[in-house]
Amino acid sequence: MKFSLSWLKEHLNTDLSAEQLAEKMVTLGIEVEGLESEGEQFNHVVVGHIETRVKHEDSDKLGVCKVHVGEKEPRQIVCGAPNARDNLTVAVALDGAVLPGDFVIKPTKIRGVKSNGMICSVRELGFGEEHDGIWELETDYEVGTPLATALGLDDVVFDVSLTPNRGDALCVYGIARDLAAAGAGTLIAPKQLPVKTGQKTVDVKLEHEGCTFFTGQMIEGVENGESPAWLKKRLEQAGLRPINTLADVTNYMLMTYGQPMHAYDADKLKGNITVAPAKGGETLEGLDGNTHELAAGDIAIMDDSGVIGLAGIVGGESTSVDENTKRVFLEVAQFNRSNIAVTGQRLQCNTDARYRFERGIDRAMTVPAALLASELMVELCGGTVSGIDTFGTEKAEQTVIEFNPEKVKTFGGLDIDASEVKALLEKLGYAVTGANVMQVTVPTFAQGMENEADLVEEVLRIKGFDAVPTQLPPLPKVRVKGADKGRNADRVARRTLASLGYIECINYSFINRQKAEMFKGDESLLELSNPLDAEEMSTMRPSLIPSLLDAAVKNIARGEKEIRLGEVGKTYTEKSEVLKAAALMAGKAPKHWQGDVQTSLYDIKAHAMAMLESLGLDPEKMQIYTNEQTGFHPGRSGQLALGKNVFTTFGEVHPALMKQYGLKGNAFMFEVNLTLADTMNMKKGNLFMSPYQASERDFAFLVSEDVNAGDIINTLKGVDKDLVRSVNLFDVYNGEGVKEGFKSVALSMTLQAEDRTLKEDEINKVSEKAVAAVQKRFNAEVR
Amino acid sequence: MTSLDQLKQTSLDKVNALNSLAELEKVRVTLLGKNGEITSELKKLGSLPAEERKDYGQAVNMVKVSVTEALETKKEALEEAALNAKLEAEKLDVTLPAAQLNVGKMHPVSYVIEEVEEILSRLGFSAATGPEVETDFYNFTALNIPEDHPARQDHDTFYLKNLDSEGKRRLLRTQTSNVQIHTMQKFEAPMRVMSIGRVYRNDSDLTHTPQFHQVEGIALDKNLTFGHLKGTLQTFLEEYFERKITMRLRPSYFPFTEPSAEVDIECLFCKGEGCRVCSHTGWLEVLGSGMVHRNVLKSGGVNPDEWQGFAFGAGIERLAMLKYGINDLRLFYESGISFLSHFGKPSTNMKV
Repeated sequence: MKFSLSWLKEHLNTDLSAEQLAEKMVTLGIEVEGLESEGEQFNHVVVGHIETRVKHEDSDKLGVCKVHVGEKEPRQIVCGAPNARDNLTVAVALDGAVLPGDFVIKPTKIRGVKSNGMICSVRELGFGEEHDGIWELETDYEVGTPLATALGLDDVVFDVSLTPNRGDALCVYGIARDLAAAGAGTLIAPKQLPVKTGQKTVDVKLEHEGCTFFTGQMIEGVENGESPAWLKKRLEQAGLRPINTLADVTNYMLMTYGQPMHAYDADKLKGNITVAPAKGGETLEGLDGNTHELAAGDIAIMDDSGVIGLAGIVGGESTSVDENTKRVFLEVAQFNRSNIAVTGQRLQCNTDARYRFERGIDRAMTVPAALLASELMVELCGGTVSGIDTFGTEKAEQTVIEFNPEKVKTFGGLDIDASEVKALLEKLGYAVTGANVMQVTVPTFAQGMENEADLVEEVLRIKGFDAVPTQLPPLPKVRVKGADKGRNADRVARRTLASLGYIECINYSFINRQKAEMFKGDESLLELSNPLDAEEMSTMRPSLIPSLLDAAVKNIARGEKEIRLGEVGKTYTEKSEVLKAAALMAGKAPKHWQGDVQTSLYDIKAHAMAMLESLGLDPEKMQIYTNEQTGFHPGRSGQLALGKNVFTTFGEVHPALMKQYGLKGNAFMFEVNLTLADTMNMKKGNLFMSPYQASERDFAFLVSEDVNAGDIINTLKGVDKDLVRSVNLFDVYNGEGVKEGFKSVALSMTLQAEDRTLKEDEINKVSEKAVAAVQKRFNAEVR
Repeated sequence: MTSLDQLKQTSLDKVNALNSLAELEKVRVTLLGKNGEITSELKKLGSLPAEERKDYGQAVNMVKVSVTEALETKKEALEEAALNAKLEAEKLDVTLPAAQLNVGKMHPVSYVIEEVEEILSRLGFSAATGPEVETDFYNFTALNIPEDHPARQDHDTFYLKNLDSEGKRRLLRTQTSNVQIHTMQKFEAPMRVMSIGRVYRNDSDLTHTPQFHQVEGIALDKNLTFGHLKGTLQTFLEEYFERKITMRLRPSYFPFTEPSAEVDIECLFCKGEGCRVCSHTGWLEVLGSGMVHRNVLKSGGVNPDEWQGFAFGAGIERLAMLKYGINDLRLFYESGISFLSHFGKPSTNMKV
């Protein structure tokens, strides 16, 4: 909302400057977004008078002028304008002036002649396009007067923004009232006009419960036309476009007192007015230039011709006032805020009237504002008012809040006397009775005041939030435990990804539908009804993998060669939200003089296992499943699981998926279910420490190519759970010397006891058992 | 010169002339070995008359001692020379590029979340989590934002096509405040909890992304006041920005708090003089806050006549941008490796 300082000062007696008032507004909760001095570009530009002009010795075009600018002596200024002459009133930029284009004025010499200032053209001052010569001013300005003052441009325009609870301050008078309460001046009450009952030339029937009070005034014999300069300027400063005097007065009153109103051309009205619920389907050519279709229940203003206005939102074209209007019917009424909100929102019709009704108007201001408006119309357009007709009843009862003034201290943290609390509330327009427990009557303009907390806020607001002493509360005696499901896994996963060399990225939770479809498994996807991008951001992602692949593609397009990206975030399906972590290795490491680094399935497997271990799980104890998984190479991927709980899928990205995304080479990825990991508690085995010597035995087995190495390892581990400490597979070979369809697997088994050094024959016994087990289970040959 | 003197001299000459450890060993054997020249002199002792034996024995022994010493000295010198030669031969060019090591980085949002969590945790707040896909009730109604409230329009909510299991409309949470209600329903007052996470608004321009992160704290007890809110925020901001902070609270409006306050800090870049970052106001808006509204307590099943407290919230990206000098919000979600490598942090370099 915009308004000028001079406008504000019509309602507030104050000595404070615009800056001081703005600062006060901020502490009152009125956010000041802008403070614009109208004549700012005319700083250090004054009215001057050329006494004499003589030709410059070194130039045919230049002249040397003696110019009075209100100083003791006239200044010497060199000027090249053709119209510069003796005895001319002009605009002079003095040192320090900054003209448009950051042109700084300072004393100088022009062709050897001192020049102390600049006589300006209209264009040079940024005031218009005229540039034929210097600006010739009216002669009645006093020399030395700042140009802004001389032109009447010394006003300051405030641009304020108000929160939805401040319906009371959505007008100049309301702002003045708040400032006055905070001690920034004294409020000038509006003129009280006598109420004279009218003749109901136009009758109004109220048939909608959303309209309980309506006033009408008939003004006959008006001459409508362009508004006077002062009114146009006020509206322009407020960012409104002047239309004609009658319409301008309604807007001016809305801006001044926050009471929306509407002027009908009475000669265009057909019969009387009815305020009733719309049936639905009616249309209105609105003054906003749009055709609005009404829905059942909207508050419609109707005459015999049909709908002529949408109550509290927008008037109709068919009955609007124009330059030919002779008779005016002025409507000033009260409409229910939620009706206005619902209709306005549906029609996406944003008007100043709707804005104010939605946030609440001062219901005691309806009649006074109506009278002030008709008076101003008559003053500016002539004519006579027949009186005011009221329909329905004004809501009389006011909210009363039982208030313990101690609350200002025990809730607000500000220790002040009950008497001061009372005084502050009264300044704000509240009526207060009682002392220890007060009965506080809420003024009609205050919106949404319901309880003690609201009153505490009012007191703190006027005292200033700065007045409340800053205090750190003592630490709580009890802490909430167990509300942070998933939080630890989330943090651990992010750190682990980074420690494994991944760059953590955060992608949008909504992705392309087709990409989501691939990874949904047996579940249903969640889809947005109003996506920001119907193509690429329509569906909640069921997996982090598509996001990472997209991120890889984007980075490769930007010239990145090696991609190691990770993400931690939720995945979504119709039934659940699951927290996951995922990592992707793609592209190629740059060549290195020691030889190129090759990544493989076993790198990503190591990373997936490290992630599980970070999460407190023991991947060594898990089963490895090799069923085909979406997006993964069927022969180069696996899952780590305990029974039906699958913690991670890892492996090479499926070549078909690579192609779909336009990625080259091999890529590897894993995705871990953090929600599941977080709920799992794997017990650690007992600590094994032994001072006795460990022994190693190496074996090489020839087995069929399709035997899983992991199974051989597990077989060896199972031979003697007390003595076999570890099994290390150190070679797999299927080249020359190994028959077709077979591979040679070499392993080393470490044996150690807790209570003794193992004897040779004990070791041999376990070894023989191991060999026998592998031979039997895998049909292996010992090499 | 006696023959012993001569033996000593030739022996020492031989030792001095040595220039390898292998030769040294040979010479040692020829002089001091079982049949070495000096050893042989000692063997002669037995054949000498008893009265000569002592003197001669001493003389031979002195020769043996000096030659042994000379050998030792020579050996050390040769060993040192050999080591030096080895070191010289093993010299590498340390300016050659090191092996490729992938240093991973945490996203600025992640480490700012950790920093914030750590500070609030020290102030007594426990972490709480909640769903991102929500119902109207938890995101709006329970937070004192009824259906026709103007504040609903400001939220640019993303709605879902899928209804929940009870047939209710679902949406993506527009604020982390939904966790307040879930937590109040599950746990008893007094409580101090914080929730941090992703939130969504259907808005995208220079200063808005459709997804961002919020941190929110709520403290409920018997005697918590607006002054305690100020104290908590002052401490939080000073700890987070690691400097003295000038804070300003402005009356504002949030449906879930009363009184409500916007929290500004004096611009960190211009010290309040006015600059581009603070839009020449000298102030930076960093938090929203207030005393928890009675209706919100009631929605959470907490008796508003018994318990009172405060709540506050801030945008994680905003906090990150101000502290770490990131000037474009959209970069957080572009997954660009150059941005993330530059502003990301190794997991071993967390403040917490």
